[in-house]
Amino acid sequence: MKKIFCTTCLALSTLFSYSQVHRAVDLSSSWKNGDLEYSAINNDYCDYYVGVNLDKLVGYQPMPSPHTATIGKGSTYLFTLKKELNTLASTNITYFYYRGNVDKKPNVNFQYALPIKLRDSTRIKPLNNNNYTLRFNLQETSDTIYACRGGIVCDDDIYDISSKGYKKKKNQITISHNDGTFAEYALFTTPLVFAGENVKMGAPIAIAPQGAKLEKEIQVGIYFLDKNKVKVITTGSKHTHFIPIFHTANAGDTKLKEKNTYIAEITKEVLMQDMSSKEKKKYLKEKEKNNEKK
Amino acid sequence: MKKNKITTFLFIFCLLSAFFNIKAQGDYAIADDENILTKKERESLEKMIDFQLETYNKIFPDIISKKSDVKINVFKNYSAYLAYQEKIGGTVRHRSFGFYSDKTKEVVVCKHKHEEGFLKTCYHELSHFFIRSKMTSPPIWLNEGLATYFGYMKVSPKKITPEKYEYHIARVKTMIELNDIDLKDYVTWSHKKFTDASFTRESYGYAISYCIIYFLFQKDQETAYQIIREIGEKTGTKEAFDLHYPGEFDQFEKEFIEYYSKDK
Repeated sequence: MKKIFCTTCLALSTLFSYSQVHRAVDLSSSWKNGDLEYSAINNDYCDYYVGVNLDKLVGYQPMPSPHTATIGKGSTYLFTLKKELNTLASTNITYFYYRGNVDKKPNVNFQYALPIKLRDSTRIKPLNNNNYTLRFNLQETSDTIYACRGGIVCDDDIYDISSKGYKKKKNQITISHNDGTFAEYALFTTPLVFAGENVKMGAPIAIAPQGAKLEKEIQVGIYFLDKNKVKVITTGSKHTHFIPIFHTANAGDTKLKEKNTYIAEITKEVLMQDMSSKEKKKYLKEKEKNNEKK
Repeated sequence: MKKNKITTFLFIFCLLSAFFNIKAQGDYAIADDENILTKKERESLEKMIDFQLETYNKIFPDIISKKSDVKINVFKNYSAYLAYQEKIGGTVRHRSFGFYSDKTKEVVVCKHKHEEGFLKTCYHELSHFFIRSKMTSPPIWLNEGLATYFGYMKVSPKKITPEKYEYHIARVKTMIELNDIDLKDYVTWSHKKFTDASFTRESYGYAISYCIIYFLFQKDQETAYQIIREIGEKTGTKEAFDLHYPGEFDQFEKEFIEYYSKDK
């Protein structure tokens, strides 16, 4: 009887070695009829781009050929390693993941609401930090910071290899929008929303810094996972910030400029941008009802 | 007899002049008293000086530079490098590892840990030296575009070839996809507008300038030379393209966008 030696050496080595850091995506494997099934588990509340590399693949046939996938929250099946008969099977698996969805086209014409109370005014200054971020002056406004656009609050207590550095800013909220973009709010004192929450445009999300010594401002940056950067093998940022258009009461829909003062306003058109036609109908109907009551 | 003496004197004088002239042309003015440069680095640097010298002399045949004109000052210590910037009266650039001084007409570099990055800085600043010796006030896009292009050259023992700077290309591809690029306006940008946009928007200005130069050199080097030469004559960028690019600036813009949209 021919003796069959079958040894499986599977080295699952991720690109991460931070034991304390909460990983946004985990790779899990399970045996099924002698084959290995691989899934990715997304622990965050927004989409992730996952890439898997199979190095030194011997005795396995990947089905389907796994390379990259965009995964939503929870577990997503990726691929199976089918074992070839009578062979010594081994491989070395590495994987990486970036927050975002490269299949979605960012809507750069979306009209964002100012992050301040309606009818309050603000001025801006771009932050000198490479990734386009606006510093909103909150000296003349209330202390509450409002969402510029609706979406799901992401878990910023995570890490990926895109150099985005979610944990860098202590007080930071990231909201994932339905076109694959993200809004990053930083430099407040008290968050009012938490990971996993669904937030609407204009909803209060944080409290601004208080006190004479503290600069009363909020930093807002809008970005997306850039598919062109993802294709570039070299490390570095994989996300691209862009200059968003804001809806204002006094200057209309505009890219904000320094030294100008802008007044916050949210019109029904601005509010309805992210709504489906069904939601729009419902919203308009309710609005009409409310007007009749008045 | 007297005539013979004069002839001999003149002959020796001419011989010595020629010898010293050749010697002067043959020397590289790299100030590296502390022997900071490795043999390999020095060789690469000299090769790049020759390469850029040849390219710039071809572009500007009326203003010939010699290798001995190129002054490079290499520092090992970052504090000494910063102090030198202050000494020569320029802006102290705290986050840079190299610059070209218009005042002292020299390239000043600080050798940092990463050898590859250090040489890239040298090549980049060398280009600033050459372009500033050919043009009094080159448009910022041209100056930085050429410097970044030369900065990403691969120097091997046998040849020097441009390396594709994929990251800048990816940036430009995205700008095109988002309709976030207006070349006609861009080429008129002031130094301030260029640096403001670059430092707040992930090298926005540098990425476009590099991609313009890379595209021009890939498409037709002679046309690229003519356009640069024309700009050197103080012609505006758009006008220089209108004069030398087949189909004028509009065609260039169209082809540029097509080139980077198709680039895989």
